Formats: sequence, structure tokens, C-alpha cells
Amino acid sequence: MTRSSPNDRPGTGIGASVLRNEDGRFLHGRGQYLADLDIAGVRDVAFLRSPVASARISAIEIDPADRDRVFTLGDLGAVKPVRAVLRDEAFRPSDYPVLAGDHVRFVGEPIAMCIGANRAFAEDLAQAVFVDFDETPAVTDLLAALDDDAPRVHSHWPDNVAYVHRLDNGDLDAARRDAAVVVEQRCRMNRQSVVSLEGRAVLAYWDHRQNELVVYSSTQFPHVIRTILADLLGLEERKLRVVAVDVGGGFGVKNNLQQEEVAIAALALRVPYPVRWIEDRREHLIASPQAREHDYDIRAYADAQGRILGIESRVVVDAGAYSIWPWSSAMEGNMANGMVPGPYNVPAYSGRGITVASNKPPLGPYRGVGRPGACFAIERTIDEIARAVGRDPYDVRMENLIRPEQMPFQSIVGRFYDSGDYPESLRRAAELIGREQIRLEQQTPMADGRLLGLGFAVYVEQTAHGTQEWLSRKLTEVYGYEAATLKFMPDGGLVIEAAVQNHGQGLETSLAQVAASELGVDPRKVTVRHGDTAVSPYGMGTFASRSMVMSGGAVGVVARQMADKIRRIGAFMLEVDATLVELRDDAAWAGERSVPLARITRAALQHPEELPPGEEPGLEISGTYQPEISTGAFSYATHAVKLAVDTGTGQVELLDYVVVHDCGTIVNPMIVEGQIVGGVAQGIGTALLEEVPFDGNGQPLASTFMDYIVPGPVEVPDVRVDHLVHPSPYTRYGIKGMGEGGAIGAPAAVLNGINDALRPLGVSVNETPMTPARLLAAIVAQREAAR
Amino acid sequence: MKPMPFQYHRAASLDDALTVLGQAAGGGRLLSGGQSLVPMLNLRLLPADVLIDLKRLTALHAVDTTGDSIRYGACITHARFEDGDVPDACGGLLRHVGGGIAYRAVRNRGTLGGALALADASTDWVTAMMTAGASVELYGVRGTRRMSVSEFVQGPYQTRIDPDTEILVAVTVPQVSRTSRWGYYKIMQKPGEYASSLAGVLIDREHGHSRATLGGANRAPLALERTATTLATAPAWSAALETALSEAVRADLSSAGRGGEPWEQASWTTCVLRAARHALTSTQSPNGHPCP
Repeated sequence: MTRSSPNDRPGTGIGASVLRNEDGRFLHGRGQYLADLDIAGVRDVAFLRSPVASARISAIEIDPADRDRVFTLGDLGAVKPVRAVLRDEAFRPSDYPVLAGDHVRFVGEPIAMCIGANRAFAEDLAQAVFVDFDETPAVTDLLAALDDDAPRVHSHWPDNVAYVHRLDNGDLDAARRDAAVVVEQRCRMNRQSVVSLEGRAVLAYWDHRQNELVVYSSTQFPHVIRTILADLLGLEERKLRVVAVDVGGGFGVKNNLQQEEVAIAALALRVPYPVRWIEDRREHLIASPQAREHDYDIRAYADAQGRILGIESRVVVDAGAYSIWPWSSAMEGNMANGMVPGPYNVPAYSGRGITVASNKPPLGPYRGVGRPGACFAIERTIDEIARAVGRDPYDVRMENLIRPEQMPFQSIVGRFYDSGDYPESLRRAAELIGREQIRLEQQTPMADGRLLGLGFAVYVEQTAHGTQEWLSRKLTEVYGYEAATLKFMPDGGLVIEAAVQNHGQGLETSLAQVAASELGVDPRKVTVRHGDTAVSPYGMGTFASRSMVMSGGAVGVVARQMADKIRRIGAFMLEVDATLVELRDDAAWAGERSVPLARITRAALQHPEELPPGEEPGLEISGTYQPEISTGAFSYATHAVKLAVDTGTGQVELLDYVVVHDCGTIVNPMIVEGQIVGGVAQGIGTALLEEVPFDGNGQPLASTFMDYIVPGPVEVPDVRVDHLVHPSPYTRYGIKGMGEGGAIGAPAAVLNGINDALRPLGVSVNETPMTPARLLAAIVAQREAAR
Repeated sequence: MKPMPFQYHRAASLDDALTVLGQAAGGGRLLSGGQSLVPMLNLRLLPADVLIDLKRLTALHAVDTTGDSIRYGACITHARFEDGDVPDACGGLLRHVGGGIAYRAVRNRGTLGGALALADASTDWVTAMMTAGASVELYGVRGTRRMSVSEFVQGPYQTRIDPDTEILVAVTVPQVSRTSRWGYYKIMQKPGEYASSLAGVLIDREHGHSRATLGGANRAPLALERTATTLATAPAWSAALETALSEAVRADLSSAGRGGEPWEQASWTTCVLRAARHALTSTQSPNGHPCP
């Protein structure tokens, strides 16, 4: 494995591969997840969920003996429905009731809550409730949803279109006129589940001592959840506390307001005991927010060298039955439309992102949001342009990539790419995967009869979106900053209180490393407290590859102020000027002499008499951070994959996988590598395995792991990672976010590799997941056509 | 995903199990390894009033070797085959198959008899035991019945057992000759997951028979007669044999009326050809350690 050498600095601060502070509890199986909480008297809730995709509810019959243990919408009082919109009148709003009212619009939609002493009893109760459904035709296909005679998901809409996102820039007429080749491409990325290992979970009770509602939730953003819950429940926000304990993976599915969160919180206001809901895997696969489901229709105009002159694109995204808060149903389609031009010089672009409603679960964010599809579509297009002009896809990619001297670069759709050397990442990836060697190997058949393929994908990953970005996306909520409090203890240990939520990103370590860089404190003596509205200042949470830039920045800003104060006190004790004091190794240094950090902290917290005249006691500082520009920091990477296609079975084996990645300044190379490899694993799932298909009645056909296949150790090769380092000019420390990229590049690279392998057969495939059935069907169809 | 309430009964004897099964009047389920039954109960896909646990009946764990066959108790786990803990009547085929079922955690508990009695189309033992020419023994209130596995399994989840009066207690497998050869292949999206198709091949010229079986595809397992005949006299793997086998498979599918999408037919053919190739090209020791 190529180590992350460029940034792997000695020491414990920014750039060092220190072991994670959280490893101890996780590796010993001592993590504390929501279901591990031992709350006295808690009762379990099972949701009665709709078994049909589209129906009017004509009756709900509950045994009178069970009436105090079964709650429907009408039993919850004045809870507002969730309404997630864009700040655009063209966006078609819809209400998402906390529990279904008169209608159900997808299989799995919650209808009632049933309370039992344990989950089994609660499920028995749910089974005993009788619901009378008048079924109506369901919308189950994203293109058919656009038909004039399609049934309507929301009867007050004129059709099923929630939003059309339009981007037009450049001279497409000129592109059409000058084009030597026109490449038309259809690509489909099917619907997926998100599959966090820990499902969603909520526990709530009224705390009489604090006179507040306590809501534990497996969420990525507790403060934001508190704000919206207070609004929907009609509670004062100060009377709500939202806590996320250890969260066993989020990937976006816990970055939404969940109906179950609202419902359980509302229930806790009505029953005199704690209630909890622990999502099981079947619910997770059927009823949690799902992801992807894009259909692209692309036309690319290029010159004889394969240089892109213009692109026309239409992507239709199936956003499911409801718009989920805060992102709205249009987030996925808008992002996909905006990211089709990718890392390339595209002089003219006309793109439409059409969001349609269907009778499926709502679409929510999933690692990559929109971009895995956009990357898949444009990267397949690049390969097909290369084929059309008779060049190697590598050369055509090089021809079109934005060059380092163009940086910073304003993209055709107005995105501001801050820095980087995209061609160099492609060049290095080609070198590491052994492109020229693979091209030679392809000239002789593999001994076992399989076909060898080489695939590339290059992408940009917009991260740490700031105020301007959220405003331009017309979101009602703006996640422009992050906040942190730093507190020293008298013994020199540091506590960081952060508003983000760590769910596997190693933030309890990397935030400590930022503090270490500023304060010279050993990261092992730093505790990061997070995920609890009662603990940290208000902030936004962990999503959109923002935490290291935003929260790291906030910790850095506050730590710098703290360092100034510590230097002043240290200078007084060392009897030197503060400018001569250096903080490292848990001490303040002036040349050879030092004073331990613990002596300074004791003075500041316990012994004001030891402080310099005029220095206030105390070592607790809060602050916020927003980057210099709020349009985001852009990471990028090239993925390269070598694979073999078995034309007898349609199976694909990944033989080698390379990622050459640039996320600016790397805080902890080991964590960064883990994030990249984890993302690639999920991208491989998208490429080859994961899909929630629906039948014509809207019934999900993958509701257990028997049918929903996720990648395992055999499917994920040893991913080799190399780094370029172009720090962002606009963020503190030059950090760029990087949590999502692995998942963005992999589907495109794998599908390009498969198509490269199939080229001798004249077969082309443009759909994910590329299952053995789909692949073999394409091969056999081509064989029959040739006969 | 919690089961509905049910009674649990640990059977003291086979007759005790039959008594409780009869009393349950259609609501009884026999529990062996539970690797399919328990998830189905948890998903509330199957009703069950009483679970009758057979696992403690030592007779169902026994192995009896006679001159020309081996009788395996129904509660023998896949892991015991995998570990070579029981003799292999098929020169290594059963050990190979046992070791390839799902994941080790499943193999530790899942049993031969349970898998055959459930008769999921993707179950390895259905395909493997048909290939082996095995028969099952059904113990019931009206006595014991024996029938070949191919007769026993009628389709996915459909067998000739009477679920209220009979228990599958053993599987008897004829011993192959020392010169026999076997091949086995399955196509899965991911190792350990359910196979979309499975094929087993056994060529035993000394005993004068050869068999080829195609399983999976949510259909009844298929004995491929022409394919087996072609293999019976095949000298060695060759391109000509591959062509001949492809045509034999096609003829077998056609005469069985086994329809499917063209890609499915292609996939099934691949599966059988690879099992055949495995049989003819791998190095096989008589004691059952395949060396591909």
C-alpha cells in the first residue's frame, strides 16, 4: 500500500498518523449505541407500516383493549407535518405527515406506533391492528412518472414533477456546428439503500428535573434536529435536549429529519414512561430514506481530437413520495445536474435536472449526493467520445481536464474550483495501475478466458459548502459555519466541545490534532465531546464532507486564542516576551527553558495570584469559523481499476484499484486513507451489487440482506492510495473535506473498466449495479444479434 | 423482526417429536439448525405454534457406514462435512459442498436434513445429493419410507414429506468407486450468498453410472440425462467435448421444458460446463481432497 507520505509528518499535530482516541472503545466492543442505553422503564415501539404503495386509508381498527398502547396521527395532538421546500416558487411543496393520515404513498410509510414491554410484544400489537386500504395505482418508474396519464403521487399537483433545475451557459449552437463527433449516452444508476451498520434509532422521555424533553437519536446533526423538533412539536427549544451517542455509521441516512424522530418525541410527550424505537434491518431496507436512482440522457459534442465543445444533459431523479427535511426532494437532481461537467473544460452546457415523485420511500442524501451518478454519466461519456474519435480514453481525458494553470477555475455552471492539478492525478493513477502494461496484456487472451478491462474516473468533490453555496441552492437552512468550545482542566488536559457528530470519521482524534498543533498538547490528553445539544455550542453537525474544514477551523480559531493566552501566562512565568514562547510537548518553551502546561492551567483556573497583572482567570473559549469563501473547497481524485469480466457468468472481479487523491492539507493520513477506502467499498456496492428494485405495484423486492447484497472483503480489492497535496487557499490550514469521494469515483471507474473489457465483443453497458444478470444479458443479446 | 409467540418443545425421542407434531395439527415446525427457519419466523413469514427441537436426538447425528453406502443422520451439520469429521461417500464431493455453504457461522449450525427438508432451490445439498444418487429416510407414524432425493424434491420448498406426520431422519449416499470423478460449480453474486445456479457432476465408470444435476433458478432441480451420458464416455476435457456438452445441456433443458431468458440459459450452461470441467481436469484423491 502506498503510504500517505507527502503529509505524514512526525509528531502528533496536523499531518501525523496518530492512532485514534476512539479505537479503544470500538475495538474492544465497548462503543455505546442507542440500543445499548439502559434507561429504566423504557418500552419498545413498533411502527405499523404500510404494506401497500399507494392507497387511501378508509379505516383503522384497533382493539379497544389496546387503545392506550396504539397511537395514530390523530392521537398525537398538534404535531405539524414536515414540509421541506426550496426557496423557489417553482418547487412543488408537499406535506409529509408524521404518521400517515388519509393516504399512504409508499410501502413502509409509518401509520401507527404500537407500544410493548419489548419489541416482540409491540410487533404482536402492530399485527393485530387492521387497516382498510383502498388501493390506487402506484408510480414506480421514474420515466413513466413523466407520462401524461401517469397516476399522480400528490393529487394537488398537475403532474409528478417536483422541480426542474435548469443550467444553461455557453454557446451550444457553436458546439453543434463545429462538432466532429456527437456522442449520445443513456446511463442509469438504480435506487439503493444506504445501509449503515447501526440502523436508525430514537429514544425519548420527559426529564422532570430539567423540565425538558430528552430525545436520543442516532443522528448526524443533533442541534439541527432540536431546532426542527421544537418547531414541529410546539416546544420551546430550551426545553429540548437532543443527544446522539455512538452512531454506527450515517453516510447521509441519519442526516435527515426522520418521521420516526418526530413521532417518538411526540409520543414521549403523551406517555408517562420512556419510549424507544430501534430500527431493524428490514425496516432500514424498506422504509429509511433511500438513495440515487438517476436516469441520464446525454449528448456530447466534440472535435476530432475528442475535445469537448458542449454538453446537453437531462437527468431524471426519482425522489420518492415525499420531500424530506431539510434537503428537499430536489437536492439529488439539482446536484446531479450541476456536476455533470465535472473536472473538465466544458465550454457550453445545457442541463436539466428533473425531480419526479413516485410511490417509493423518500430520497435522501447518501455519500456523494448526486455526484456518483453525474460522475458515472460524464465519465462514461468521455470513454465513448474516445471510442468515437479513435483515441485511448486516457488521452481524451487528458485533453479535456482543467489544467493547473487555469486554477482557480470558474466552471461552466458557476462552481469555483479552488486549486489542484487534475491532469497530474490522472497521470499518476495511470502509472500506478500500469496502464501501458495492461494495454499489452489485453493483446493476449487471459488464460481462463476472461476479458481484461481498465477503467478510469476523475471527479471533483465539492466539500464544506458555506453560506453562499446553501443560499444558491435555495435551501431554507444555511449551514455556513461551525462552532467549538475549548476548556482546559486544571491538570493541563483539554476538553473540546464540538457541535459536529462523530460517527466513524475519527473526529475525536483529528480535532484533537488541530488543538495539538496550536497548543502543543498531546492529543491523547484531549477529550472531544460532541453529539449533545447540552454539551456544545450551537452548530450544524457532520455531513457534506464539512467537519474537518468547518469544525477543524473552529477548533483552530479558538485554539489560537487560547494559545495566545497561554503564551502570555507562560511568558510571565518564564520572564520573557510572549513572542518568544513556543508551545509544544505539553509545555511553554523559551529556548531551553520551559514551564509545564499544567502549571499554566492551574494558575489560570485555580491560582489567579500567579497570573500576570491584568490577565483574567479562566481557560474556556468559544468561537466559530467559516471559510474565507463559502462556495466550498474542492477535493478531487482519479480512480483507476483493473478488472476481469467472466463472459460465461457475467461476473466481474476487481484485480487492482488505485486512487490518486488530493484533499489539500491532510490532518491524519491514516484516517484519510480509511475514509477513501471505505468510500470505494460503497462505490463498488453501487457499481456491482446494491439495488432496491420495485415491482409494478411499488413493492420493494430487496427487503433483507438475502436480496440486498453489500460488498464484503472478497469484493473490495486492496485499494492503493496516493496523494497530491494542493492546500485550499481559502480554508484554515488548507484543509479540504474528503468524506464522500471514494463513493463518487468507483461506479464510473468500474463501469468504464467493464466496457473496456467488453469492447472486443462490441457490447456496451450503462447501468448500475452491473449485476451478472444484466451483464450476461447484454453479452447474450449482442451474440444473438450478431448471429 | 421478532417472531410471533410460539411454544418450544425439545423432543425426547423421535416418537415424542411425532406426537407433538401431530398434536400441533399443522402448527408444528421441526427445528434442526434453524438457519432458515429462525429468520423466516423472525420475518413473520411462517406461522408456528410450536417449535419441536430435534437437535438433542443423538440418533440424528449418527453416521453408519456399510459396504456400499453411508447413512448420514439428518442433524449432521455442514461444518462436520467441511471438517472431514464424517466420511465422504463421494470421494470429496460432500466435503467440498459442505465447506461452500454460506458462511462458517451458518455451517456450524445448519444441517443436512434441515436443508433437504426445506428444499430451497438454491440449497447446495439438493443439487449435491441428487448428483450423489442419495436417498432420504422419512420416519413417520405409519412407518419408514425411503425415496431418492430426486423423487423427494418436487420443486422449490416442495417435497413429498408429510409435514404433520413425518420426519426426515437420514440421508443414505452410495459410495463411489476409487476412480470416480466429481465436479461442482455454483454462480453467486458474492461468495457465501445464495447461488443463482448450481451444478454437480459425478462420473463413476467403475460403477457404471454418471450423473449431472442443475439446481437453483427458483425451479425444481433437474437431472441432466444427456449431459450425463455424454460425460460417461468422455475421455478428457477438450473443445469438442465442450461443444458436445453444450448441446447436451441444451437438449436436456429443452426436453425438461425448462424455459428462461437467453442469458439464464447461457448461465445455466456455463454452470454445468464448469462443473464438468472441474470433474475432468482437477486432481482428485480418493479420500476426498480436491486439488483444483
